[in-house]
Amino acid sequence: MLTSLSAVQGLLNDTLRVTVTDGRIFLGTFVGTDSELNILLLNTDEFRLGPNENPNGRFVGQVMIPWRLVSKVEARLSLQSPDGMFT
Amino acid sequence: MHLEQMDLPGGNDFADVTAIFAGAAQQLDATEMIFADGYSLNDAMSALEIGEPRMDSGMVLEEAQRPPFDSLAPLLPEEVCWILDRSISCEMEWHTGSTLSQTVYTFLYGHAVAEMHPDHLLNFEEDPSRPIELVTVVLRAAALTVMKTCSTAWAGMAKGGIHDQEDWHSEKADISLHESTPIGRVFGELDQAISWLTCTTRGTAILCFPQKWRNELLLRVSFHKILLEIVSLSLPREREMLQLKRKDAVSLLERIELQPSPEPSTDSVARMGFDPYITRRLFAFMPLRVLELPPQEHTWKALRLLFSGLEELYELTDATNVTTWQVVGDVKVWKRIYVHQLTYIRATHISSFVNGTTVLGAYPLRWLVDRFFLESVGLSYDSINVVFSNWVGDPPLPRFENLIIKTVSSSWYNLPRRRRYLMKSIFEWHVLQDGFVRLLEQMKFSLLRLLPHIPLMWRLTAAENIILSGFQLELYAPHERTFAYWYLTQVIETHLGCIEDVLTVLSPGTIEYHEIIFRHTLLTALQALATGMTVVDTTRSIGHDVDDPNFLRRYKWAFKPHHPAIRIQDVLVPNQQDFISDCRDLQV
Repeated sequence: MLTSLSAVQGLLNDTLRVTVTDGRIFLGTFVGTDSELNILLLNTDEFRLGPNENPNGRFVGQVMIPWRLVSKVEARLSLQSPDGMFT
Repeated sequence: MHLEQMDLPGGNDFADVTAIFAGAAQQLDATEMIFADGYSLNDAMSALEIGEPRMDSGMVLEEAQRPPFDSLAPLLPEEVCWILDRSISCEMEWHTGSTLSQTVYTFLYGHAVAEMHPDHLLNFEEDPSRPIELVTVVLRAAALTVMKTCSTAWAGMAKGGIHDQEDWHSEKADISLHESTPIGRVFGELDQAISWLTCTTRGTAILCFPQKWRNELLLRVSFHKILLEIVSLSLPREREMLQLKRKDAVSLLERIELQPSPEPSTDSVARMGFDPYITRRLFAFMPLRVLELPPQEHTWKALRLLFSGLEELYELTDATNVTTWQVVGDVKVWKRIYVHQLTYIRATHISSFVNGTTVLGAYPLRWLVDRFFLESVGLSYDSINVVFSNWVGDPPLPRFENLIIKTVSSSWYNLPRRRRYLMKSIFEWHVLQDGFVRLLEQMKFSLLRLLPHIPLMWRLTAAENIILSGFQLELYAPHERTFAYWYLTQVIETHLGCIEDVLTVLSPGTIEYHEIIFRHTLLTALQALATGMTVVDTTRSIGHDVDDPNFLRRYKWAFKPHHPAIRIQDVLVPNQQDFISDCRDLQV
């Protein structure tokens, strides 16, 4: 049974999709976090959902998302992920 | 599975790990951090913080919240007039130095040209006072024209001569300016709009709004069209067409100014066509300041400035004297006219003067060297080129061409860049002067003995401009001004001596003779002014500014060590002892 910490460590270098409270979605490579759960993403694209929004998003590079703004964190399922890692 | 979920960026292969993160926080010490291999705290320091307004360029502030923009919302004719006027304000603000994101891109109809096509209309209720063609035909054509005019002007400014980030902003933020749309298609759309506005027989919609607004819209659509025609001209080849179009544009502008479009009400749909906060939705690494568009009168003033710059360009492209370009450029710098000139005008002046292969669109680069000798001492290069067969070192022609092109063009650079260029040119002119001296040591032609004076005079002119630009740029501290004035008198003294030598070989009555006499008079006056200022400043300070550690740095261009290959003495090196001695004499 994996601990939460090792599960998060296992997500390093994987793609995360982070939804923040103002509705934006960030899609980037997870490269680090701290005890306050500030999430560091590399090569990140920012998306807004809506009829007048750019469906291709916009590239914002390297970002740090404070946990207070995070409403959801999702990880891309990988074939190599241990069974039950995200359940 | 919900449709929204299927449309999420990245696809469906994601699992929610929010709880896992929350759990991990409990297991991390207060100061503990986890990083991927090869990533460090140092790397993390350069990440942009989301939610921090000064760093998060995509954060939508409370004041930026607005209802969705409907590009097909019907509009009153006076509202369309207002939108067309404000779209030009966006364009002119970009020309005055802001980014496209802060100006042109805030005009939302510019991004919605494709959606505004009549074919996209499905069901709508016809409002006789708001014919939908005003949006799908008139506004759509104007919006397309604004974008195309900007992309054409952008291409003109990107040709070189002016500098991105210094003089203008080329960043397009990944937004299309309709670069690939053929210009003929844009003119076709405009003609269709003009035709719809002038047509009185087709349909009833056009008859439902007053003739006054139809005329006003016609003026504005025609004005948009003529702006695009002007920026798409190939200059200097089409200079006559430029003059015609410019006169038409001035006339249209005067008529538009007589009938300003009324400000729409605060809840008008027209106001939704401009979003100053759009920068937060566009590609940008750092948040850009929100710009308020200036009053419309400000835009008309900027346009009049554009047209006066184009008129001057028309006159100047007729001048086939390098000296004329140089004198006009110098006067503009000295009178600080350049400060008020639009970057587009400065760029067009430079590209009209030389485009990389031809000068003034007609002459080879070699023509510049011919004019250089002809206008300096009345001899064409061809008549003396035989003596250049004995030239020592690299062939001088490319160096000549490059120096003349850049020295003339530098009058349309921004002032600090012009100063930096002139400082570099001091050495180049010195090398040429040295080359002439070596060349003529082998010859006994009396007329040619003054050839080294030609590069020397250009060098001295550059030095005078460097010293004067220090005043314009407010570089000199109060205690440095005395030396600057004194040094200017010394450089001019050398320059006047040079001119007097050259006068001995010029034939009185020739253009070159008159030109050099004028220059002598001008420099004498300038020297008198500088001498007066030296006296005034000397009585206020002791003049020990040569001890200032900044002194050598300020005049590094004059103190620059000689190139080992240069044998002649440098007449520009300031003599500090002479300065101190002169100051003491003046104080006594």
